[in-house]
Amino acid sequence: MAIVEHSLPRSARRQWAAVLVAGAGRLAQMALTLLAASFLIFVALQRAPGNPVDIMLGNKAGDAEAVRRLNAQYHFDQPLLVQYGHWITGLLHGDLGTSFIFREDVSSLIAARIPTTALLVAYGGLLVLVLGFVTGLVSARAGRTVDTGISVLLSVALATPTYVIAIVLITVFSLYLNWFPVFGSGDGLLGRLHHLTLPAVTLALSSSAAIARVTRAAVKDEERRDHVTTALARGLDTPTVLRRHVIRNALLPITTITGIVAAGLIAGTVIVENAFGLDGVGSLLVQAITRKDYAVVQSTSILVITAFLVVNALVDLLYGVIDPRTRDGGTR
Amino acid sequence: MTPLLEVDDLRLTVGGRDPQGQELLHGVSFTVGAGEAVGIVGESGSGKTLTIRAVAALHPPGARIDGDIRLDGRSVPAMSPRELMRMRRDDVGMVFQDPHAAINPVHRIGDFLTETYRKDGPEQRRVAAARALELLHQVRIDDPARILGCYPHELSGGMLQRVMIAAALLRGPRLLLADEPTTALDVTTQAEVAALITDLRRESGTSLIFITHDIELVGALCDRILVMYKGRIVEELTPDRLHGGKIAHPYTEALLACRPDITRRRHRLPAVPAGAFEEGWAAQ
Ligand SMILES: Nc1ncnc2c1ncn2[C@@H]1O[C@H](COP(=O)(O)OP(=O)(O)OP(=O)(O)O)[C@@H](O)[C@H]1O
Ligand SMILES: [Mg+2]
Repeated sequence: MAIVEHSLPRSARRQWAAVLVAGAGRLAQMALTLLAASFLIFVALQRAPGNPVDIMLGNKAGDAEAVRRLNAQYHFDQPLLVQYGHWITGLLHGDLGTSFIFREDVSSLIAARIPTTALLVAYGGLLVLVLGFVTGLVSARAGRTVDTGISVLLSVALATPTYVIAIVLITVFSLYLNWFPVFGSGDGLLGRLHHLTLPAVTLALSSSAAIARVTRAAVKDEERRDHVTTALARGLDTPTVLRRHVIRNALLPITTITGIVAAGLIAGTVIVENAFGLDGVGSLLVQAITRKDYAVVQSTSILVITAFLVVNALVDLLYGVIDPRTRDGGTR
Repeated sequence: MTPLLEVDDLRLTVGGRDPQGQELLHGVSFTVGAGEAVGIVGESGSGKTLTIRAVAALHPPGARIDGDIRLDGRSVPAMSPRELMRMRRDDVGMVFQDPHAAINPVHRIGDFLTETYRKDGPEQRRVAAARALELLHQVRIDDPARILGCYPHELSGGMLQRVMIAAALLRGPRLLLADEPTTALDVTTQAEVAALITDLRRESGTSLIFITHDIELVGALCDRILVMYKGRIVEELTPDRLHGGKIAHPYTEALLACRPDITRRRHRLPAVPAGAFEEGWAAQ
C-alpha cells in the first residue's frame, strides 16, 4: 500500500467534500423518513378501534367528568394535527410524554428496556454473521454430499416460523436438557448472555440460513471469475486467492443481504421477546399496542424505525468501502 | 539444446456423459525455443486456449491430462502444488483477452501489480513497487505514480491491458502466454499493445506464445505459426509462407483465403465452412 499514498493529493480533498455532502443529504433524508413514519403511525393509532380513555378508566368508563379530565390531560379533545404537534414538540425537547398504563415517563420506560433488546440484537446478529458466513463458505467449498446436507438444513431453517423455532428450542434445551432458562433476562453480563442464548439462536436461525445461501452462491460465483484465474496464474497460494479474490468480492452481495437481514432481526425481537418473556423494547411495543398506550407506541416505533435507518445507512457506507466502483468522486 | 517448452502428445479429456469422457485436445505437440515467439491461430473452439492454459496447469477442474508438458525439462503435470505455484509465479507470465474481466476490480492497480510480493519482506516489496513503476513507464503509461492509486474501472481497456502486460513481466518470466491480448481493444490500441509485447519480450529475451485470430498480426510478431483445427495442430508455418508459400492443409488454405486483401477487390470475403475439412484431414 505504501506506493499508493503519494497519489492521493488534491482529488482526496474533493472526495471528502463529496462524502460530507452525501452524508448531509443522507441525514436529511432520514429525518424526513422519520417524520413521515411518525405521522403515519400517529394517524393509524387514532383510527384504530378502541378508546384509551375507556381503557384507563376501566369500570369507571361511564364517568363523564373523569373522561373530560383525562381527554384534556392527554390532549385527546384537540384536532389530530394539534395533538401530533404537541407530541413532536415534546420529542424535540426530549420529552416523550407519559405512559398511562405504567404511569411513568416514556423515556425512562424505554431506556430501561433498551439494554435487553440491544444485547439480544447484537448477540443474534453476531450469530447470524458467523453461522451464516461459515456455513455458506463450507457449503460452497465442500463436496457434493456436505453441500446437499447443508442445503436441506437451510431450507428447513428458512421455512420454519420464528415462534415454532422458539417452541422447539425451549422444549429441547430448557425443558428436556435443562441447559438454558425458559424465561427472564438474568443478572450480570454472563447471566444475561445465558438467558439470551436461546432467544438469540431463535432470532438468528432463519436469518443465518439466508446469509448462508447468499454466501454460498456468491462464493461459487466468484470462484468462476476470470480474475481468479489470473490470480492463480500468477502463482498466488490458495488461501490468498480465496481471501483476496473470492471472499473479498463475495462480500458485496453478502453485505446487501446483511442489510435486509438486519431489518428482519430488529423486527424479529418483537416475536422473540414475547415468546421468551424478556422485557425488551419489542415486548413493550406489543403491550403498548394492545392497550392503546399512544405515547409508548409512538416513541417505540420511532426507535425501531431509527434503528432500521441507521443499519441501512451503515450498510450503504460499508458497500462504498467494499466496492470502489460505487464510490462517489472517483479519480476518473 | 532442449527447447524452453516442449508440449508432447498433449491430450486433454473432460468428463462427458460417456465414461471415457470427451477428448478436447487430440495429441498436441510443439516446442518453443528460448527467446522464440510462436503464434497459434485457428477457428473458435479449436483448442487454442485449452492448450496454453494447460501449459500453466490451468486446465478446467476435473480435466485429465495425458502426454507431457516440459518447461525447461521439468514435467508440469508431475509438479507438486508448491512447485506449480512457484513455476506460475516466476517462470510464466499470462495476458488474457479482456483486461477488465481478468483484473479484480476491488484492488488498486498498485496492489495488483505487486500482489505476488505480499508474502516477501518489506524491503522486497519496496523493490517490487519501484519495479512496477518502472514497468508502467516501459509499457508507455504516462503518470504511472497516479495510475498505481487508481482502480481498474478508472482505466481504459488499452491502459489496463498494458498494466496486465506489466504485471505479467514483473517477475521476469521465461515464457509469456498471451491469449488474444488485443482482441478486446480498438484497432490503433491493438497495434500499440502488440508492438509493446514484441518490444518488451525481445529486450528481455522472453519466449512468447501468442494466440490471435489476426493472421497478419501473427505473421508480423512470430517466428513460427501453428494452425489449430478441432483440437489438433494441423500445420506449422513460417511467416514468409503466409504469402504464397506451400500450404499442406486445406483448412489453412481456406483460412488464408479469408483474409481481406487491399490489392484484390472482392464483394464478399469467403467464409470457412464449419467441419468442411474433416474428411480432408482424415484422408492424410
Ligand atoms: N471446461 C470445459 N468443459 C468442457 N468443454 C470445454 C471446456 N473448456 C473448453 N471446452 C471446449 O473445448 C473446445 C476448445 O476450447 P478453447 O477455449 O480452447 O477454444 P479456442 O480455440 O480458445 O477458441 P476461441 O478462439 O473462441 O477462444 C471448445 O469446443 C470448448 O467448448
Ligand atoms: Mg480462446
